[in-house]
Order: sequence, then structure tokens, then C-alpha cells
Amino acid sequence: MPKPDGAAAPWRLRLALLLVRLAGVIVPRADREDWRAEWEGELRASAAGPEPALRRLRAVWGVIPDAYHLSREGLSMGQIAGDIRYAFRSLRKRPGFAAVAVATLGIGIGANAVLFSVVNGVLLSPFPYPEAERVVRVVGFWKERSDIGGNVSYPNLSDVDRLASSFSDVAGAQFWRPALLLEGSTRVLIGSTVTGNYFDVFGMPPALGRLFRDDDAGGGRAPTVVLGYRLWATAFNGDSGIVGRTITLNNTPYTVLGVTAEAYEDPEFSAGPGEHVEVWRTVDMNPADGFRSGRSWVGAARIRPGVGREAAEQELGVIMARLAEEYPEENAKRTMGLTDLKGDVVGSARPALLLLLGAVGVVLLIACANVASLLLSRALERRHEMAIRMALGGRRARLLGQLMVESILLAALGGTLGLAIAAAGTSAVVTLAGTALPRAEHVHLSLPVLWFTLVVAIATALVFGLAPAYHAVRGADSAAAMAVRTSASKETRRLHRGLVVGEIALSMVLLVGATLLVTTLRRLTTTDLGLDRPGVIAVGLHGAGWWDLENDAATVRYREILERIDALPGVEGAGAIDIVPLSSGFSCDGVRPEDRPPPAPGEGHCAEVRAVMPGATEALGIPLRAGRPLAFADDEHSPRVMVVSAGMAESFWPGKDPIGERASIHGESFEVVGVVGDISTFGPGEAARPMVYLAAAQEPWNGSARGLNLLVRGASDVSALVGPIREVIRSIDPTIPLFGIRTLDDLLSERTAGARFRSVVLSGFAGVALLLAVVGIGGVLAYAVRQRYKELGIRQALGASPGRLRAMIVGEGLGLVLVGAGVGAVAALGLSSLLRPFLFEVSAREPVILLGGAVFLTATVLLGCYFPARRAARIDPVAALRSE
Amino acid sequence: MSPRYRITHASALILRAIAAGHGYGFDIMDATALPSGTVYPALRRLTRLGHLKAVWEDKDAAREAGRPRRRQYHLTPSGREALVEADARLASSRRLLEEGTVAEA
Repeated sequence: MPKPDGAAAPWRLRLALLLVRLAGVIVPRADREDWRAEWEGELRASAAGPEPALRRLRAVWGVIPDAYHLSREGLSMGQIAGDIRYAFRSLRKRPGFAAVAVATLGIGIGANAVLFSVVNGVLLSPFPYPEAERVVRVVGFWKERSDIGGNVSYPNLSDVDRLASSFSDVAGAQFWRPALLLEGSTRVLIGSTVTGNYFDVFGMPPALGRLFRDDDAGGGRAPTVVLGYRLWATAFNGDSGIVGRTITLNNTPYTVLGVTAEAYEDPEFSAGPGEHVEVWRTVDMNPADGFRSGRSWVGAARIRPGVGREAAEQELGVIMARLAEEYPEENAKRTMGLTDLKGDVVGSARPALLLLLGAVGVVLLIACANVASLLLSRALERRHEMAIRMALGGRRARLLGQLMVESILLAALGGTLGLAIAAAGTSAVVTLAGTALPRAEHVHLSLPVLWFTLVVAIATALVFGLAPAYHAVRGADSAAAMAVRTSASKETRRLHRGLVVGEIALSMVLLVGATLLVTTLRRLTTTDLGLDRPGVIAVGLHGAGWWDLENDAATVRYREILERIDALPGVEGAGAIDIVPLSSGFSCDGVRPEDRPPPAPGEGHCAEVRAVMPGATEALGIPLRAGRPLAFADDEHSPRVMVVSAGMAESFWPGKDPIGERASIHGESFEVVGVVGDISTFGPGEAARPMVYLAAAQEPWNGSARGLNLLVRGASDVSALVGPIREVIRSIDPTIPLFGIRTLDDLLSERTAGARFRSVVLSGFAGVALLLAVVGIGGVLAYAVRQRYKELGIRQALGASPGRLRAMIVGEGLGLVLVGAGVGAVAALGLSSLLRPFLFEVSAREPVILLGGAVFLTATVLLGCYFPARRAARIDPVAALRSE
Repeated sequence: MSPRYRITHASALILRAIAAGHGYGFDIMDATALPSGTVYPALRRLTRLGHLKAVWEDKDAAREAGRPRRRQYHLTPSGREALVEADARLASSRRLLEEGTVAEA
């Protein structure tokens, strides 16, 4: 036999060769060597060829029908149908066995199909753009900290587009939240401000009208928009006359140029988790007027045909070096790189999904072990039948083939049940995942999922069917097998127990993993974030562009609203803030302490600067540590002041009293008047960042005019306050749109959606695994009781009490469970590093969790011993002694 | 009433492919566009009926190409006779296709 070429053989070829080896078992021995050599020759010849030839490796699935036909050489189709009928009949004879086996396989295959449909939709399904692999994200980062990729500035992006020859287009998108006025009511949309060539990067023609061109963008152009297909179909009822019409966004008339294709998928650069961009406008200024050190743009580019990604990235580096020389102040420490668009969109969901895919594979392995163990018990019972059939001239290969037909039938029934489970489970999982799953609209039962299920079902049948079938016919040709009905060889018994121990060990691994994730979720939701979360509701007031007021006038209006809300019964405090803690916004503005020389270009501190209306930190429950909070008296005309977080004070003015110190923000000088507690504004598990709170009236970026979120603390049921708050706002301005009405608890639950999804799904898998383990050990012990029927009867006749017999069987089960739990604990320790990235405030090797898992597993699995033990205790000694 | 053939459509295609010089299993698959699960069982059947003979290729040639030997299928004299029937069967399919084209045109 030719030897595999070891490491040189790609994994696909190895899998294919493995399948050939497995299927060869049922080929008659005389032909087997040649048969394997023939398939190996073809597969290796294919694998050695160019890449497309690898596709021919798929032909390896033909080994199954080929081997099957050879195993029943000379049989007609009618006889094969007879085999299938025979398999059906023999399953019908043992409905209990068949039901347990099909249910087990159905759960295992179904869970895999569900997870694969998620993985396929989220990770594997390509973007709908032509030559999508050439579309990349352009990220800017600090040279020394290449791990942090992020946003870029409009002037830099536009220079790269002008100078780089590797890209057909370099485009950008920026956050935009316009309010749409339609038939007297307003609605806040998720929008995106883009460069004129934005849609050229993706290359998908519109459904209606046209998309943007370069000359649509820039200062002084008439405002135009492109509508998303969904918005057009719902808000505008799919009106085909929309092109050329004018719609009102933020009190400004925009002409509709076109509607994106239905299949167009925006990379959602400027949308939060679970949001979809609904409308696009072009940037209304020229790059020269842009803010080069600002970083509010997300870049995307299309690489020209024939240019490699590395070459493109190199050119980008060269251009950035040139821009650093030209603009050292802004660019000295910055550079740009390319990242995978899908990696960017899918983000953190990828490792989590791969982890869960591994876990669901383990569930299937357990299901296979379970069915293999059931089949093994059954095969031993049928040894007598096999022995008789062989004595009558049946060929071993034929009998093996026939048993495999039974396995494939079981897998087919299990696969069908699995598909039904997948159909129901897929949408349930998508709902459960909520915002934790990007691209969720691609998750559905598709053709690849059906193929996957089919392949899994067939592979499953081979995995669980071969060993038991082999054990059934092995030695069946001896005369002894005909005489002794049901005695298992030592080796078979060992296999049987090994399967159950393996099953328990795998369950232990899943159980420990699930417990770690559940503990993580609990710690995430109960950890101290530095603010008093319950009872606070945030209401977004769409100020930007709506009121068309100067900052001080907007401040006056906010103050009026806040004072009236404060007077509402049940309200304990009210304030306003531009970025609500625990929401996905961030600022990272440069803040420079004035008692030190100015930092070198590109260095210096970055802090989270918030524009607030007085009462905000109080409403959030952030304790005041020193000085005073911001007040309404801190307005446009009074000295510039700020309140900083304790961590900020410590890092900026270590060992000093921060009150009275000064720092400059965006060229203006602010004096520290108060210090408040630190908060984890980005949610649990994220380090507390230095925070600066400025009065909105004094903030350099016109905080009030941009729009703020009201923060209201309620005495009891805060959601009951939404109605009265709405009333107050309507009485002041009946048209201003409200959006993003959420409690801080809602926001925390959004922040922890990923952790919740992972822990619930893994717990579900662990639960299924435990259930299967209980069934598995029950099956093994029931079989042991049957095997030892006579012995148990004799023991009882000799005076063993039922309790003692029960204890014997339970003891046997306990031995298996303990070995399994021990092996599982060691495996869990070994695999703990895989889970580490998903854990929070819990060690992957926490002894309490390992021990608790082992105790819980033992107690649960021992339940499976109950019925066999009861049966052992109730054996009628007379009947037992009379049996053969 | 169309004539009845003793040979399946797939077998007819396979015999034709082998007659045209496609001797290896995977090459037959490519030439006929039939899946491996159809081609191999058919090859076994045709071999059993004596229409085909399987020959291992030369050891040294395989070693030079850096892979195990491949098994090549040849037509036997009885296979050549079967080819006549196979061609008749394929011709009837071709007629059907041409009829379809005429009707559509």
C-alpha cells in the first residue's frame, strides 16, 4: 500500500483517504486491497493537480455507494430494496431502541445544522458585491499601537484616494442621524454621510435612479440622498416616482437620487449593533476644509484588479509617510492599513461562533457514542442471528453491509428529524442572539445547510455504525456464537464502557464551559460600574439641525425641559448628556494638563469628554468626591470649568489636589471644579477611562445644539415616566423627534448580549449532553443487567437483599461516572485557554467550578442508573435460574 | 414505441468515454459529468459483465509522477460489441434533443 506523504498532504486529502479506509471495511476482503489502491490513486492524482482539481476530491463520497455495491456483489436493485425493507422491519421490531436512537441523532444533527446555518450566514456567506474579495476596509492607527485600528480623517482619506494607484476608489462614511419629516410625523433614521465615490467601492447598481457620483459631494452642492431599499419599500410604499422628489431631513430639503438594490448590503460602518443604514447623503464640504486630526470617518476601498493586497497596503504606507512629512502635527504618529471587510463587520462574533461550533461538534460526538453504544448492545443480541446466517452461507461482507444499511437508515431518520429541529431552532437562535449577531438576516436554512446536514448524517452513520457492526459479525462464524446467545467478549465490553466514559467526559467539558460562561454573565451584570444603574432612563432628543438654534438658545430650551421634568411626580432627578454611558458612543478627545509643557505631535492624553446639562452625574448616581458639580450658572459667559473623574485626576495630577488645576481641550482652557467617581462607560469588562464632564453651554463643539440625551431617575417604575416625559417635551416642541428611549438596564443588557448568547447556547448544549449521558449510562447498565441476569438471580436466591443488588449496579455506574468526570475535568483544564477570551472575573481553572461540575454531573448521571438498578433488584430468581 | 436497450444511459456514456480514451475513473467522471457514486458502481458492473478490463498502470510511471498507481479501464471485445448498443441508445437521446430544439425554434 502506498504511504500518505505525511505533512505534505492537505487535510482535505487526508479526510478523503480516511473515508476510503473506513468504507473499505465493507468491501469483500478479496477485492479490498485493489479497491483501496484504486481510490487512493485517483484521489492523490487529483490532489497533486492544480487547485480546481481539488474539487474532484469531493468525488470521494462515491466510495459509499461503490463499497456498498461491492459488498452485495451480484445483488439486483430489488434485493437492495429488500435490504432497506429488512432494516425498516428490524427497527420496527424494537421501537424503543429506534426511537431513542433517532431522537439522539436528531438532536445531535439538528443542533449542528442550526449552528452551521448561523456560521454559514454570518461568517461564510459572501457579501453581494461583484468581486467582493477586492473590497477592504481602510483603517488608521497609531504607529506604535498597531493593535488599535480605527477611524481616519476626511482630508487624509481624500488624499489617499487622490494619490494611490492601487485602488480604483478609496471612500469614507460618517455617522449621521437625520430626522425624517413625513406626512406631519417625524422619525429618526439611521443614516450615513459618505464621499461621492462611496457606492463605486461596492459596485452594485441601484434599484431605481442613480447612486452618488464624485461631483455630488463637496461644498456648495445641492443636498441629495440615496434611499435604502427597505426604507423606500416601507416609509415610501415602494413608490417608483420617488426619484427626483424632495424629502425633508433635519429641516433641510434633500433631492432623492435613487434607491439601492434590494440585495445591497451596507457594511454598516456608521450603524450600531443590530442597526441598518437606511439613507445616505454626500459630504457637504471640501476635503481642504476638513479637520485633519479628527477621526470620525470609516474608510473603505476597492483594490484594482491585478494588484495584490500587500502591494496596496505598502503603497498606503508610503503615502501616509508622505502625508506625515507634510502634516507632522496631525500625522507624525499615524499610519493606515487594510483589514478584511468581513472580519470588520463580523468582528467578535467570529471567535464565539467558532467556539460554539466546536461545542456543538462535541454534542454530536456524544450522540454518536450513545447510538454506537445502543447498537453495540443490540449487535451482541443479534450475534446468534448472524451466526446462523453465516452458517447458512451468508458472506461476512454482506452481513456487514446489511448492518450498515440499518445505520444509514437511522442516520437518515435522525437527519430528517434534525432538519425539523434546525428549521425551528434557527430562527429561535437568531432571536436569542439579538444584537450579538451581525448579518443575522443571512441566517436561514439554505442549500449549503442542507448539504452540510446530509454530509454530517452520512458521516455520523459511518462513525457510529462501523464498530458495532464489526463487533456483531466478528466471531459470529464460530460454533460457540450459535450456542451462546448473549455473551459479550471482554473487548466488546471494554468498548461499550469506553464509549460511556467518553460520553461523560465530553459532557463534563461542556458542563464546565457552560458554568464558566454563566458565571461570567452573572459577574458582568452585577459588577460595579461606578453608577447607580436601576431606575435611570435615557431619552434621545434629536436636537441636531432640528431646532436650528445657537448653543446658548438650545441650552435654555434644554433647561426648560429639564426643570419641568424634574417637577414631575416620581422623578428624583434629571440631567442630559451627549453620549449615554453603556451606549456604543465614544469620543477620545485630546486633553492636555497645563502645568506641563505641551506634548510632541501625536502624543498626549485622550479622554472621554462629555457635554452635560447640570444634574446628569447626579441622575446617573455617580458620587461627588470633591469640589462641586456643574451648575446652570456655568454658562457661555462664565469662566470655563470642568468636572473630572477620580482616575483622570490621579493620572493627570498625581498626588496633587486637582481642584483649581487647568487643562486645555481643543484649544480652550478649563478649570477643574469637581471630582466624581470613575465609571465603566463602555460597559463591564472594559477598563474605566479618564472622563471629563463639561457644561454643554461651554463645550467647544456646541454640545447643546448638537442634541443631548435626557437622563431621568425615577423613584419607582421608570418606564411609567416615559408618557409624562413625552407630554412635557411635546408641550415645548410638538415636532421634535424622540429616539433611543432606553433604561440603563436595557443598555447593559445590549452590552452583554454576546455573553448572554454564548452562555445560553453553551448551557443548552451542556444540558443536551447531560441528557444523552444519562440515557447512555442507562443503556449500558440495562445491558449489563441483562447480561448478568442469571448471576443476579443466583445472588438473590442465595440471600442477597434487593438493596444490595441495587447497590451493585449503582456502584458499577458510579465507577464509570467517576472515571468519566475525572477524564472530563482534565480535558476541561486542557481546553480552558480556549474559553479565556470570553471570561470576566472568573478563572478558567476555578476549582470550585470544576468540583461543582463534577458533583452535579455525578448526581445527574446517576439518575440514569435508577431503572437498571430497580430492575436488578426485582429479578425473579426462579425465572432467572430457568433461563438458558 | 422506442426500442428497449439492455444497457443504462449512464453505462452507455461511460463506455463511450472509455472508447474515447478516458481510462481513469475520475477522468470518466469529468468526461461524462456523472457523479462518482454513479460511475464506480457502473464500472464494477461493466467489468463483471466482461465489457471492461481493469489494468494497473506502470509502476515506474506512477513513481515518476509522485503518486500511487492508477487503475485504467479498457474495452474488451465484448465491450466493443456493447458499444454498438450504447451508441444506438445515445443516438436516440440525441434525436430527442434535436426534436426539442426544432420545437423550440
